[in-house]
Amino acid sequence: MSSPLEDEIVSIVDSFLGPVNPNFPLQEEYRRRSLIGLCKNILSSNYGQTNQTEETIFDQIQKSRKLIHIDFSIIQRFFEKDSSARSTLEFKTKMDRIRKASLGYDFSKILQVLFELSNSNLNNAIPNVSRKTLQQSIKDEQLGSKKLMENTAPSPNYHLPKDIKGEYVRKRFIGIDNVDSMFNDDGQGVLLSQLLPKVNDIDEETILKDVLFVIQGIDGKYITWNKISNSISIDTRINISNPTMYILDRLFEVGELNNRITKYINLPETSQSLVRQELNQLSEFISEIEQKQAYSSNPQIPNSYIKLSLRGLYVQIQPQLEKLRTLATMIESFYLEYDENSIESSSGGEMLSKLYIFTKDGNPVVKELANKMLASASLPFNKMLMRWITEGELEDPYKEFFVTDEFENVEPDSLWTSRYNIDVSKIPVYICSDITRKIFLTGKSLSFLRVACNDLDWITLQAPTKDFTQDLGDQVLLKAIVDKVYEKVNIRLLQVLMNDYNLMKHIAAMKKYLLLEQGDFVQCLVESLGSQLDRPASRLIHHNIMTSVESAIRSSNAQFDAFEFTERISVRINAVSSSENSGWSAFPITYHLDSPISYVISDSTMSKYNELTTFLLKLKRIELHLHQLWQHQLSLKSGERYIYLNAIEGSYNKFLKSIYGKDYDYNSSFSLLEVNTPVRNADLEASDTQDVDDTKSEFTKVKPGFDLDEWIAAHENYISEVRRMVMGKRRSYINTVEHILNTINLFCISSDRLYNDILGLSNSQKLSDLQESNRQSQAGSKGGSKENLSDFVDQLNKRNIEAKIFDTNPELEQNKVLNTENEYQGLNKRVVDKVQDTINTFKRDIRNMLKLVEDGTDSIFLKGLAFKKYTSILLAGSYSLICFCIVLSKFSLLLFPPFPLESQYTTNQRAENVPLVLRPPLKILEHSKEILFVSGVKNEYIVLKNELEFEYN
Amino acid sequence: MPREIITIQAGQCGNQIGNEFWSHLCAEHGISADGTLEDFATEGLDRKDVFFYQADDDHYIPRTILLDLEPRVINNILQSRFANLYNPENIYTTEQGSGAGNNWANGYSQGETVWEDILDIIDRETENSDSLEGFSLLHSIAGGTGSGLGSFILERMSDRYEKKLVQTYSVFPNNEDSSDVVVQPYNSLLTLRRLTENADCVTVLDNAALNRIVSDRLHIQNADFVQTNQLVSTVMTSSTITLRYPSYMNNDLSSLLAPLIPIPTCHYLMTAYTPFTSDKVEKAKAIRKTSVLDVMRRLLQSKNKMVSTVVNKKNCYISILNIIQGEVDTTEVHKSLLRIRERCMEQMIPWGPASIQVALSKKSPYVQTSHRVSGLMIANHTSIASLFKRILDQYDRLRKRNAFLDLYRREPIFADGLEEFDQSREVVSNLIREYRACEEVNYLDIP
Repeated sequence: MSSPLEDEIVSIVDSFLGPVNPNFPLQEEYRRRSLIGLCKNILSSNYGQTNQTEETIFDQIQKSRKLIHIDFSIIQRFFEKDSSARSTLEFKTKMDRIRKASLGYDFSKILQVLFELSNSNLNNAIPNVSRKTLQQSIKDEQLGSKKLMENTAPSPNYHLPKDIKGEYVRKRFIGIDNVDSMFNDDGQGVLLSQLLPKVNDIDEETILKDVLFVIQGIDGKYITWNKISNSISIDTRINISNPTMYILDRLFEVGELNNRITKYINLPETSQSLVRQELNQLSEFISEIEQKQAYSSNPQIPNSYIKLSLRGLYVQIQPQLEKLRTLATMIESFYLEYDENSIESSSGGEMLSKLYIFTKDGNPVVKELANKMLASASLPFNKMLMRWITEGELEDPYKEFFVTDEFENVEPDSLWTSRYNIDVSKIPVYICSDITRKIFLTGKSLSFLRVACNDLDWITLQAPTKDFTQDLGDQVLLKAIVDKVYEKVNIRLLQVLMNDYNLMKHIAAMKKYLLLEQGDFVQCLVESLGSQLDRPASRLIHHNIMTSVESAIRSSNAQFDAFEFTERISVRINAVSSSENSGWSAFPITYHLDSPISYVISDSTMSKYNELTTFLLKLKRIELHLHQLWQHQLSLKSGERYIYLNAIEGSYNKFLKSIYGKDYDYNSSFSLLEVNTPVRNADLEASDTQDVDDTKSEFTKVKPGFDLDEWIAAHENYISEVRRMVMGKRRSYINTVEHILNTINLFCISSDRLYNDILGLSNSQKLSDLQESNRQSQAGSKGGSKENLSDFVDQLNKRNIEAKIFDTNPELEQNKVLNTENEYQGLNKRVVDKVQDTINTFKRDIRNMLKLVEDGTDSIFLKGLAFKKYTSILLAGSYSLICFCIVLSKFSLLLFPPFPLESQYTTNQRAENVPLVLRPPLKILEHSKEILFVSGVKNEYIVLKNELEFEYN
Repeated sequence: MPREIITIQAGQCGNQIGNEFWSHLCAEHGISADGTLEDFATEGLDRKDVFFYQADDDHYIPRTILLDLEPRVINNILQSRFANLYNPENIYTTEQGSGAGNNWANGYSQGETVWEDILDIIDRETENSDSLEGFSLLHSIAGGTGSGLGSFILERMSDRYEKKLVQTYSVFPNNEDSSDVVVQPYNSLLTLRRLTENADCVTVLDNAALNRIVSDRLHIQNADFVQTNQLVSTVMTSSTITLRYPSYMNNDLSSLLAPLIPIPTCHYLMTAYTPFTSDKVEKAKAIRKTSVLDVMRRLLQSKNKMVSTVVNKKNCYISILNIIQGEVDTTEVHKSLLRIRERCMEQMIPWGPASIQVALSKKSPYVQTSHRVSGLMIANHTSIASLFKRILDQYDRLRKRNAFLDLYRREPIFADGLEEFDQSREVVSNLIREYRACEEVNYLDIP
C-alpha cells in the first residue's frame, strides 16, 4: 500500500479536501478513503483513454465528485417524469445499474450507462467519441440528458433545463458544504445510503403546496409540524432529494418562525396586534402565492411565467423571512422564562422597553419594523397613561402599567403613601425617571383628590378634551404634556389641602399644642395635670385628663384659636406603657387628624410628634417644678435663708435651664412652622431641605412644582430633625437623660416636702426661740449664712420632736418610739445607704454622659453646654450634678431622720446649754460627711476631674 | 390662667415711669388711650390679661395702683390723654399734698397712716386676679415718697403676700454730681435695705447711666425726664414681652427670674437695651442695620447698660438673659450665641455653669419699628456692688458729719435712735460682701 502512486494520491486527496475537520473524524476518514478508492479505480480502469495527463484526470475527478450528487437526482427525476411506458422498464433497469454502480462509486460505469441511455433513447444519437475526455463525455451526458428530457418530458416541464442549470450552478457552488451538511444532519454513524442522491417521490407542486401550508402553520399532506421535536418533519415514507431538501430547509424556517410567533400570540397577552398584523401580512403574501399557484396549475391559463417553484418561492419569500426573523428575535427577547410548559413573557412597559431597544438598531429594516411595532404596541399603554394622568384612574387589567394599585391589601389610612406603587421593571426605558415620577405623582394626586378630597368636579372639569394618546409616543411631547398636567394637578392638590383642608394650619396647630409652642396652654395643662400624671399610668382617667385639657384650652390663648384646631387636641392613654411608674411617660395628649390630612401626615410621623410631646412635657414639668421650688425658697423670708443650698439648687436649675434653653433654640431654629401663614410655612419647610436664603423671599405663593410627596418628605425630615435635636439619635442617650430627669423629679418632690416642713416650722410657736438659740450658737461658731443649712436640719428635727410626726414612713415613727441605740445605728445606716445609692446612680449617669460625649453625641443637650472648653463643660455638668447630689443627700438626711432623739437627751438638755436638737443631727451630719461629702462626692469629683484631664490631654 | 402682675407706682418718678410704661403697653396691645380696643387689634396672639383686666363695658383697665403723697404728678397724668385709662379707685393721693419732702423717714411714716387705704386697693386688685404671680413696684430710691413709702409697702407686702413675687424697678440717683437732694445717700441706704430684704428682684436703673445714654447714644443734650422715662418704660415693656406674647419659654415671671437669680440675696439686675430708635424715643437717631450678633454684642457693651458701675477685673456675670425681639432666624441666634459666649466666658461666675440665655419673643403686630431686631439684656452682674459701695461711701461721709439727721429724728421710726441707719448699713455691706464672695471660685465649697 505504499507505492509512490498511492502516496501521491493520498497527498492529493488531502490537499484537495483540505485539513481534517476534527468534529467528524469518521466522516472525514470515510471521505478520504472513498476518494482515494475512486482515484485508484479510475486509474486502474480500462475506460477512458490514457492519453490524458494525470492532472486532467484529477480535475475530472474533482468535478465529477460534485456531480455525483446531482446527477442521480436529475436522472431520477427524468425517469420519473418520463411517461412513456415503453421505456420505463428499460429505464428501470438502467437505474438499477446506476444505483448499483453508484454503490461502488464506479464512475465510469455510470457514464457508461448514461452513454448507453443516450444512445438507445435518442434518435439522433450523439456519437460516442471514445477518445473524448472524461469532461467532454460528461458534457455530452449533460447535453444528452437535456435532449432526452426534451424528448421525454412534455411541454409542462419544458422550462426545466433552465432550472437544472440554475441548480447545477448552485450545486457547484455549494457542493462540498452540502456533503458536509448531509453528514452533519445525521450527526453520527455515517451511512452510505444517506449520501445517496434521492429522487423526489412527490412532485414539486405538491411539495410547494405543503410548504405553503406549513409556512402558515398548517400541516400539509406530507410535511407536518412535529410537536414533539418542535420542528417540521417530512413524512418519512417519501423521498426527497437533497437539493429539494435544502430549499425546503430554508423555507421551513419561515414556518418555524411563524410557529414561534404564533405561539407567542397565543399567550394571554394584549400587545399582539402588530405581531398579528405582520403575520397577516405573511399569510396575505402566501395566499397571493397560492393564488398564483392556483392560476399556474390551471392548464387553461397559459401565462406560465407566474408558475411558482420552490426556488421561486424561496426567493420571493426572502423579505418576509427577514421580517419574521426580526419579529421572532423581538418576541424571544420578551420572554422572561422560556420553558416547555410555561412561557412567561414580559408585558406592558417592560415589553415596550425591549421594543424600544430594537428601534435603536442599525438595520433600517429592523428599525422600521421596531418603530412600527412600538407605535402600535404602546397604544394601549398610552391609553392607560392618559387615563392615569388625566383622571387618576388605573385601568390595567393585565398589570401592564408601571403603576400598581395595592388597594386591597393596604391600610385605609395610607391611601397616599402606599396605595400606588411604581413597578420599576415596567417603566419603558424611553420615559426618564423624572417623567416617571411626575406621571406617578400626577395620577396619584388625582386619585387622592378624587377619593380623599372629594374633588371629582375639578378633575372632570380639567380633564383635557383633546386626546393626546397619539402624542405620547413622542418623548418631547410626552414630557411637555406630563409637565403641564403635573403642574396643574399639583397646584390644585396643594391648594385643596392648604386652603380647603387647612393643612398648614394643622401643622401650625400641632406645633403649638404638641411641640408646646403655645406656652401658656402648656403651662396651664402641666399645672392642672401635674398631680394626676404623677400617678401610675394605669390609673389615669381619660375623662379627668380631657377636662384638664379643655380647661387649659379655655384659659390660655388657645381659646382664640379656631375651634377646628383646638377640638382636635385629644387624649390618648397609651396602653403600652401602663407598666411604667408615672403617667408622664405615657403622656396622652395627641392631635387628632382626619381624612385627608391623616393620609398626608402618617401615623409614624404622628408617633414622632407624640414622642416629642411626651419628652418635652416632662421637661416642661420639671422646669415648672424647679421654678416653683425657686419661688418657695424666695418666699422663705422669715427666718434665715439658706443661701448655700439655694445656690446649688440655683446652679443646678440653671444647668437644666441651659439645657432646656438650648433645646428650644434648636427647636425653633428648625421650625418651619415659626410663621403662621400657610404660605410661609411651605417656604420655610422648603428651606429646610433647600437653601435657606434664596427660598425665603421667593415664596409669595405656593411654589409651583412643590408636590405633595416633597412636602411630606420635608415634613418628615423636619420632625425627625427636631426629634434628633431634642432627643438625640441614640436610645441610650435619651435613657440617660430621662434617668436624670427622674432624679430631678424626685429631688423636686423631696424639696416640696422640705418646703412644707419649713413652712410648718416657721409657723410654729417655737420659731422665735429657735432663732434665738441658733443665733447664739451661730455667733459662737463660724457664723455666716452658709451655715444655715444645719440650722434647718436642727429646726426640722426640732419640729419633729415637737410634732412627733414624720412625713416619711409610718414604720419610722414606731422606730422612734422604740428608741434604742441599735435602731439608730441601723436606720442611720439605711439612710447612708440610700444616699450612697443615689450617689452611685449619679456616678453612673455622669459616666454615661461622658461616654455619650466621647462617642460624639449628636444631641445638643451636651453641646449646648459647650462653652470655653470641651472638658470644662463636662466638669461643669458633672459638677453641678455632684452639687445636686450633695443637696439630694442632705435632703435625704433631712427627710429620713429616723432616729429618735428625745428621751436620751431630754434630761441634760437644758443643763448643757446646748440646743438639744443639734447633737444627734450633727452626729449624723458628721458621720455622713465622712462618708459622703469627703470621701464620696469630693473624691468622685477629683476622680472625674483626673479622668477627664487624662482623657483630654 | 394668666399669671397676673399688679403694678404699684409710687412717687413722682414711679408715676412718670408708670405712665410711660402703660402707654407703651397700650400701643403694643392695640389698646387706645381710653382703654378701648383698637379696631385693628383683632389677633389673639397676645395675653392682655397679664397686665389688664376688662371692665364691664369691655374697656381694658391696667392692673396698676398709682400712689403719691402729693397730687401734682398724678394730676398731670389725669390731664393727659391717658386720664380715662386708669381705674380711678386705684389712684391714691393725699389731699393736703405736701409730699414726703425728699425725706425717707417722712415717707415711711406717712405709710403707716395711709397703709389701710392702700391695702384696700391692693387687696381688691389681688382678688381681681385668678392666679396672681406677683407685684411690680416702680419707684426711685432717692426721693421721699418712692423710697419711703415704697420701702414701707415692700415691708408690708412681703408679710402679707409672702408667696408672691415682688419685683421692683428702682431708679437709683445720679451719684456722680451732687444732686438736688442732699439727703439722697440716707434715703438710698435705707431703701436698699428693704430692697435687699423684702424684694425678690430689683431691676436697677441708674439716672446717671440713663442721662448718659440719652446724651451719648441718642445725641440729645440737656436730657429731661421725658426721655429717660421713655428709656425705662422701653426696658419694662421689653422685659415683660415674653409674658404678654406667650411662646415656648419664659411665659411667667418666675421662669423669667429664676435662672437670673440663683442666689436670692443677689437679686439686683442691670439692663441694657438696643437699639433706641426714633419711634421709641423722640429725636433718637435712626439706627443702622441690626443683626442678632450686632444686637447681642452691643448689649454687652457697658455704654449701653442702664447702670453706671465701676467694673473691675474680678467682676463677673452671674447670669445673662437676652430677650431678642423681632423677625429672627434662630440659626442666626445660635451662631451669634456661640460667638458671644466665647467672648464673655471670662466674665462668668467661676463656680457654676453659666451661659447667656436667649429668649426669643414675638413682636407686637401693632407697633411698627424701623429696625428688624431689638434686644434687651437682663444681667446679674457683680459689679452692681460698686453702686452700693458708692452709696455706702456717700452715706458714710454724710453720717460722719451727722448732717441732716434732724430731719430723720423727727419721724417716729428714728425716735428711738439711729439704729435703723446702722442696721441698714450692715445689710448693705453684707450684700456687697455676698457679691464679692460670688466672684470667688470656691463660693459653693462645703464649709
